[in-house]
Amino acid sequence: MRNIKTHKVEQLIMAAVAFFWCFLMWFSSAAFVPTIASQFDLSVKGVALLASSAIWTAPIARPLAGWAADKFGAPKAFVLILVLTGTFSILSAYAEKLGPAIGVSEYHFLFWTRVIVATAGISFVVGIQHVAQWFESEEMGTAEGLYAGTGNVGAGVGALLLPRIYGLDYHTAFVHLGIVAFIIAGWILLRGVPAKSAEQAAMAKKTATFRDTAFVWTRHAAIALMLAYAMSFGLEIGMNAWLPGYYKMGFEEAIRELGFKTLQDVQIAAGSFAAVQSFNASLFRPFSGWISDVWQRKGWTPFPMISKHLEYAPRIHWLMFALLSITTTMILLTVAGLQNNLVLSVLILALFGVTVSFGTGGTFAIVPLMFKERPGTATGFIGGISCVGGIIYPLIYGEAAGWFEVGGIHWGYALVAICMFIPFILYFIWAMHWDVHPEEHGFGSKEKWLGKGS
Amino acid sequence: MSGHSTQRDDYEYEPWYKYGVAFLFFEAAIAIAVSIYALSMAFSGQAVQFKKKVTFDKPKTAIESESTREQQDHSTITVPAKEE
Repeated sequence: MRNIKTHKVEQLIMAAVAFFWCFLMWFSSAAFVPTIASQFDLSVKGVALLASSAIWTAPIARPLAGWAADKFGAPKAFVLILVLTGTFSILSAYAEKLGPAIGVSEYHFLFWTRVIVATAGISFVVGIQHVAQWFESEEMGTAEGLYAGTGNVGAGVGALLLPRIYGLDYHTAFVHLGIVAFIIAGWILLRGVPAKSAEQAAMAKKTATFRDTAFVWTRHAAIALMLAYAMSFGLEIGMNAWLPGYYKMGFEEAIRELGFKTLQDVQIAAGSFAAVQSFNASLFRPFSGWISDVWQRKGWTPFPMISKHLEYAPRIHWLMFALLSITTTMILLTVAGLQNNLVLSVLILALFGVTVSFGTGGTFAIVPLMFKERPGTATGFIGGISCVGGIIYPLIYGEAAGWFEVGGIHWGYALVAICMFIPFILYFIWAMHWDVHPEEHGFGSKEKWLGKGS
Repeated sequence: MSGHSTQRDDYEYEPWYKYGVAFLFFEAAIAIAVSIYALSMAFSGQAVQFKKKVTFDKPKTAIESESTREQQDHSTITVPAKEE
């Protein structure tokens, strides 16, 4: 390991800045969708395809990024992601010349280079692994929360500032985003250190094998935490895509009564309501990590059946509280919708965003502690596969709208909560009932996956 | 809530921790402020002020346009209706 004098706070800031910038690049295409759609005369289907393409690579590439962070160290993984996505960000700005030069249309060149830029979102797992390698277990919730919460704001900041700074000129924006990515990569190359000790870095490297990956992916605790993250982060990104349309379709009359008469005005109002969820879910995330630290310090373990004797048991109980809160607010969203009460619905939505942040912050206050020897692999699995939720939930909401004669569009939340989240919670309770090494119980024994003497 | 063997009330945090906690409270305050701002704008029907107001009007003569130009609000763009 490199002999550089550093402090863990410098490593935390470095990881948070890199993740913030990656998140900004991840959703920078979305900020310019109206301009791109207008320039290339895209249909509604084309716009939806462009918007959804940002999430395509996450479920597959995040586990790979986690493995790479364990194997090569987080700084190298960060540099690789920033250089790759920064390069393609700059290339995408010259689609007009480069596309025809290689025999494809300008739009196809732009679309596929932006899909590669969107892989910047995989950097989440790299930073989680990096922070886990530097901070003590008692401060893990706050440290991981500060890292992830601050980074997640990149999406909101991008949506808010990019169109204001660059107007319709997305080409210049993509070039500048790429250049800054190179600068951050240079900083990490100079100052990044994989772990607080050589032993810790070596341990993570040693466990970055196919057998270890298969072992983690088949553990009940890892699957339960993945489902918990699908109930929180998966739900958050799914709701980001769903909510503006929901408020427009579900509350159009009520919104018009507020004074928003034209279609464009209704869209602005619906977007404002939806943004409340996004901001709360992102910015309360560090707060949730801190609450996890508080529960740990106080030793609070209120729920029956879940282990009370694990070293980090209070953090599991805090996540359990978060999962129950998310399920409750989902059902309340349906109740408010069925009453056609817009004010109540938006207030519950604000609370819902906070409960989602409890889930995201709570999950990653546990993962690095439970999978101490394989933080990257576990984070890749939990943070990657859970993104599938972002694709599935909106589809269920849409289908549910056709199943009920009255208020169909409001029923989706309660259906997901009752038919999916309650079984997820029951599995979570069962997976977390072991008092000793819950991370070792799963499909197939430890010996089977890792060999004898493991 | 019950206390168990996990209780570590005596743990002494390093100096950075209090700044980290202060920063996360700052972030939570931003989230609350943004929520209140977005909701108050929306519920008061004022969110439309972010964009220019577009109105449709019949075409005017040059003299009429000259006399009304100074009365127009800067945020209003008049789009002439198409002639039948």
